[in-house]
Amino acid sequence: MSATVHRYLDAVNAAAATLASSLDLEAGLAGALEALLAGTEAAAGALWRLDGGARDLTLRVARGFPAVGPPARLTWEESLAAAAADGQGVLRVPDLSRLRDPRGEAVRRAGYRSAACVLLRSRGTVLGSLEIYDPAPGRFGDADLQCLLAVGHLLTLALENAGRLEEERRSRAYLTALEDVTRIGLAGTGPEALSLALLERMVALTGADSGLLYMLSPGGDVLQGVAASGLPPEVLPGAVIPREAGPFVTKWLREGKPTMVWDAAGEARIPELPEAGAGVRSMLSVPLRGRGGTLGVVQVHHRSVHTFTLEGVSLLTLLADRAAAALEGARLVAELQEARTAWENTFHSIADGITIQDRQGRILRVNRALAEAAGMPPEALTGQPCARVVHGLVEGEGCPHAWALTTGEPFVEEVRHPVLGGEFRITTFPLWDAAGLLQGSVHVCRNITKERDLQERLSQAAKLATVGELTAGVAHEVLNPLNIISGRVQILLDRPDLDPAIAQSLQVVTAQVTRLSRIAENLLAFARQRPLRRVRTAVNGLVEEAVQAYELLLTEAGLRLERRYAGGLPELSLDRDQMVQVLTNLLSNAKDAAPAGGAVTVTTGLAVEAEKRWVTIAVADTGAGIPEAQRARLFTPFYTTKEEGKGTGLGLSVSYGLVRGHGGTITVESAVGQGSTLTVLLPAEP
Amino acid sequence: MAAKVLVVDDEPEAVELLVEFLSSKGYEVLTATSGEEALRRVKEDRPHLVLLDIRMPKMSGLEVLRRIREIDAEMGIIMVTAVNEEDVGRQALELGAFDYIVKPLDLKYLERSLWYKITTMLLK
Repeated sequence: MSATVHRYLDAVNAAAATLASSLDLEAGLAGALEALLAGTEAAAGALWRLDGGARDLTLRVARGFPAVGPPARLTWEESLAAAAADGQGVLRVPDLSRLRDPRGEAVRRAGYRSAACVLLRSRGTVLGSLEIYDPAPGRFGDADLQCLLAVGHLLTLALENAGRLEEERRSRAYLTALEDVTRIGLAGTGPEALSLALLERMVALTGADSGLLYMLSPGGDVLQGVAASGLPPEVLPGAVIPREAGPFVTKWLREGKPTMVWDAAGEARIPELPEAGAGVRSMLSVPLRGRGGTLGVVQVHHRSVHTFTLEGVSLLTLLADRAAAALEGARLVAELQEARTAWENTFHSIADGITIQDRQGRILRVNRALAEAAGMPPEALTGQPCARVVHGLVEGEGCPHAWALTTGEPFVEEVRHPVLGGEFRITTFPLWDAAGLLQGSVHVCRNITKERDLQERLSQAAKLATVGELTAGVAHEVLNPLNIISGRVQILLDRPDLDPAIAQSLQVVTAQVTRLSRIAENLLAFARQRPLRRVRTAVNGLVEEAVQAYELLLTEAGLRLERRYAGGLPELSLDRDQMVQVLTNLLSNAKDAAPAGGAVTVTTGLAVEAEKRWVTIAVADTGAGIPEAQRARLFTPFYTTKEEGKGTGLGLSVSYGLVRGHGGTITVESAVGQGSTLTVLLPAEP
Repeated sequence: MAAKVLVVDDEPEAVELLVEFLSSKGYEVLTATSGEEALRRVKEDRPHLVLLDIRMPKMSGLEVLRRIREIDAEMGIIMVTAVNEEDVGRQALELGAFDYIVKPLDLKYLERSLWYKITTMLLK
């Protein structure tokens, strides 16, 4: 074997060894190139790489060049590789100076005459070319070409391996990045913190200088910056992109596609870039696509010109999709939270007590109103059988929960509640789920104590009205026979020959008839209702009128009458007849109450009560007074403290009714043993 | 000539009472137990005075009063009622009744009122 062949074999072995032993691809490639130069004794060599899909060759490794060296980049057209591709993938140029071709021009300019080149191909794809050069012409023989081919083959394998490794590394980086973004999304931070964390991660993973994250406003008319990374703080407030800003926005929002700005330096301000983004040269924008449509856009920026590769775009797209999912999730969580808060606020704001129970009637929830009515914290009520809490029943028995579950119909009942205290209207609704299955029941407990009281009072009033009508009828029917009895007695009493004993009995009859007819008349007065006939009236004058009419009776009863009228009282619009009736009644009561030798005092005046001005007319007596217990019943119809035959118990209740009809009231002051004062208060202003 | 008094009341006992009382006082007493009958008596017998109950079935005393006034503007009419109602009393006086007496009747007062009316009528 010739020394040349040995040298070749040594070179190929050395190249293989250095490729196999080098941890770093660059070092391996350089070592292999050096072995090739040793084997072929070429002055210089280079490994050119053809970027995937590109038409340019970049210099990967070079050895043996003088200071001028080969350019870092060659177009395919000016490369020797293009010439080699025309042939069998191998090219030998004995003298570059004779070549009438731009190919090889760069090598010739570096001062070389001989050149040999082999294309490195993997499954039909050109990865690059391996070339050796020498200043002497006709320098490379067949053996040199064999050596070049063998090392070229080794380098092809090494590059293929490196490509696979690179691909693996990149996909591992993708996965890590995705995991990273997903983890941030799952961290459950608030939407603001989340968007910032996601953006920072995306900027870091894509190797960008800065980034902005925009979210579409609820109305969908603007993209609002919500997070900024690597930018001055004043950028974010100004980061607002109107929907109609330009074709980019359409691309993001309509088509869901990314956009790129390779070099913004020469252009006027790009509307998609915020004002403060003046230093940004290159920008990649990727829409955040959620399940419910586009949520927003993420931008990554570079301050220098940056070539966005397909991988770069797809990485950011993947990250953006994850980020969108995370943001959408966060938004859903926030919405759920809001819905939950809204429902809970509503639940607790309802003044009716509410309980929700499962199918077994165990309480799942109670609202505040119910817990307060029950006087227990909600926790103490949940889990308990509703029958006990809501109905105060022994478990299950007669509970409308069972009814609602059996019939699927609501159940309404009104009960006096042993637990909650008061009258309650309890409505029990069956609780259905979305699938139409019975889940349990809802009790709504409304306190109707007041409503019930009002109802009772109304029905009392209705009863009184009916009583009124009846009374009028009865009085009439009673008065007619009384008239006949009375008339007959009068005729008998008229007889001159009347036995005195009979006359005495007839006097008793007359007295009883008078008593009966007075009862009937009072009943009529109580029953009678007529509209007021109001006249402008000087109060003191009216009082005096009533007092004068009664003065004689008071004097006869041995009572002193005192008048204490205040001056300057306003004229009031009064039904004079009714007021005289009221005053006569008060005077009559005073007369009956005061013992002989006592006094009845009539006072008029002005008072302020409940922030209103009132004209007061008080009638005071020096009687026994009214015990506290009796005062409350004073105005009740048919209530009387007078001895049998002296009162019907209607006078004060009728008077009270008449004064109420004038918008006034009657008050009672009394001290037992000292006397009573009944005061009529009439509104001083209409 | 005794003065003629027409007693009108739907209750026979009430009529009888007044017949007995007024007869004993020397009046000639005519009776009617309904408004229609009263109007007939007024037309036929021309009483000096009518004691007219207000609350009667079919035709009320007030209605009878109005119709009597159409027949005779001067005839003395005293309204009698069991139920003292201000409105009714006022109305009766406006329609030309000269008194309005509430049951149970004070017969002495009734007699005075009758006597007063009749003497004033006779003096005219």
